[in-house]
Amino acid sequence: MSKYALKPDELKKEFEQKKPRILKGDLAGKEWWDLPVEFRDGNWCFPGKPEVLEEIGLPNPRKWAATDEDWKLPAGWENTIRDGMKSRLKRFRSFKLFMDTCVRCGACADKCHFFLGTGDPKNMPVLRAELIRSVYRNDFTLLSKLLKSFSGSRTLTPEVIKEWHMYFNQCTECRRCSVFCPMGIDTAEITMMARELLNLIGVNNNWILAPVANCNRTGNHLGIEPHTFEQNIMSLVDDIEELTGVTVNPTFNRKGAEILFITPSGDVFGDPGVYTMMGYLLLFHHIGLDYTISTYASEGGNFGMFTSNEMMKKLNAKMYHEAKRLGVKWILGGECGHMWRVVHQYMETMNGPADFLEEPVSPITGTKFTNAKSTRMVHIAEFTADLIKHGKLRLDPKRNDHLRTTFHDSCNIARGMGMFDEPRYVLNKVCNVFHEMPENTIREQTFCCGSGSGLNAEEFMDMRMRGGFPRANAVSYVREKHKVDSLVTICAIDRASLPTLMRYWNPGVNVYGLHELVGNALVMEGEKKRTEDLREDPMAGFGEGADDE
Amino acid sequence: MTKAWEQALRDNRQSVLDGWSAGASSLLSGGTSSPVSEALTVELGRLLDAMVAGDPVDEPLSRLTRIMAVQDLPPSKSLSLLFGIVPLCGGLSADARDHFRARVEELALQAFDSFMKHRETIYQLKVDEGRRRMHMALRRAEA
Repeated sequence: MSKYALKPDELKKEFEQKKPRILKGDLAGKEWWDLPVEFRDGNWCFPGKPEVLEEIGLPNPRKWAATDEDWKLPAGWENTIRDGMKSRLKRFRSFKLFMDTCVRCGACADKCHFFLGTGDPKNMPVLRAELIRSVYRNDFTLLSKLLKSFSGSRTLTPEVIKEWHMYFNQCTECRRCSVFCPMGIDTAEITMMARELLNLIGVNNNWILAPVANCNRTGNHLGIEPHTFEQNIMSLVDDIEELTGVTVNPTFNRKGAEILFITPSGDVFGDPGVYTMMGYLLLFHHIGLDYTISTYASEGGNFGMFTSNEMMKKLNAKMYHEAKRLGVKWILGGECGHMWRVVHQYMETMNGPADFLEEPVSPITGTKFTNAKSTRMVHIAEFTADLIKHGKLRLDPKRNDHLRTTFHDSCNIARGMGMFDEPRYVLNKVCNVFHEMPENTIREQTFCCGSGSGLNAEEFMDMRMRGGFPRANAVSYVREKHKVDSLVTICAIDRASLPTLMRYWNPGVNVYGLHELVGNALVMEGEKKRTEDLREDPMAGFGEGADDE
Repeated sequence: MTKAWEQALRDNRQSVLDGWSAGASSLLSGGTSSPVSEALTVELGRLLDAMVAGDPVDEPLSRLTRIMAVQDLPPSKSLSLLFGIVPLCGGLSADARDHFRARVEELALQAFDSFMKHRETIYQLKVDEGRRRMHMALRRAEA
């Protein structure tokens, strides 16, 4: 080392004298991490129930709450976290890279919807990552440990764990910040690692773990048993018949079908997801698709992604297992967000290669989906866009004239897959009124619904309303400017959470799945006169006495 | 001659709004440079204009309290922002000042109703969301 270089003690002294002090008032002179963490009603999610943890074999099952002073962490929890970090730094190169490379430029700071909605500095992605980087530096880099104050290192304490739990559960893994990061840091992956580490010591979220346990047991997040799953869909078949006069014929667990269709279970059980399911059923009937639905691989979503890589892999495995068992050629996937991040970015390397499947080819148009060559799974929006492009659908967009639409890009589809145009193409073919929200709130810059990554818990409602504020604000803009009253999206969590967000911030705006509008617009062979949409709301200009031709 | 409080607010609209907005935004953890603060400023402006014109204030007050009802603040502190306008309206006679203060107090009471309505909405949203999630189960149970 050069004789001119400062010695560590001198460097530390100089830094202490010169470093900027931004905290004022009672916190003057303190470090940023000394800002208190306070759990209150509305800003934390209930922890995993002991029986849920036991069911899926996660450690430290117990009754506790974030507001408790003592979180009943297991003996030796510090070593568990350190060993967990060590193992993950070795196994996940991205994690190691993201711990080392941030230059604190701040480009990400005001891109996070939780920071914009709460103003809490620890919700700036750079600072959220620092929550874990500060421990990483202390425990895994010698120089930083020696220059503790200079490097921003700190010791792992129960307060740090509380802070992690607070802020890594105020990140929806939407990756908007990563779009603006000049170093390419994906904060979502940092959050994923942090949540994995917290799960090692039993610090968790029941809204994530209960669906994981359900999915592990029955194949879907809602814990629907196979017979109920089928009955629900058949009940929607009855609704379709009543509304359109057409009887659609979905099949279940049918060996030898050409295509296996998998969608989030919210489409089979929840409102408004079921209307999107009706749209799929009408579409498949319209084109005479040879498909089947599995009551085992009955969930497109994967809350394992918010728990651990191992859990994500386990829950995802059923898709390929079932495709193999049924002998289908390829898989078609419904409208979902994080499902597509798992499928598009992890499935092939986690549970593939799926050599037993074929490169997807549309049986109707002959289009080869070369982009799905490795996963063998196609997104329904590109499948439908291709059908429309080839003139295979008989559509009457006037049937959606009672809706004035805008489109919410779902984070994982937009930023995780780069799919922006296909859903817009479909939407513009099935409805006549469409207006974009402002440029910096759509496509790759889309704002999250504020409830993704397993944060859609009721008890977290206040924070969800604040995190969803930037999205609601953009909808408010097109509502005032263009009288938009319908927010269309292609994500099941959006369909569950955006109605709530809209009702709070923009009353009068309803939320629709893209294929619900496709279902409205489809002119089916042998249909009766349509006067109502799939929700049984009257269509404009199609009432009694009106001529719909 | 001293002015009525409406005229005083009309004459100094921008400076009153700037001061009111800065005070209100200082209650928020994001300060004055966040979208929440910007939305707050827009609604304070609408409220100010409605007060001056003698128009109904229900809508701007509802929009204002909707923002405040989900902030990390106790209700008393949230609604204290309304009183921030009182010292900003200068040049009033004692009588006019009393009238103005009375009007602001009236607004605060109205805001309390509106604030509570939004809190009730939050609780209703929780219930409705649970019902929507169980839509098909409830439909079968009710059939």
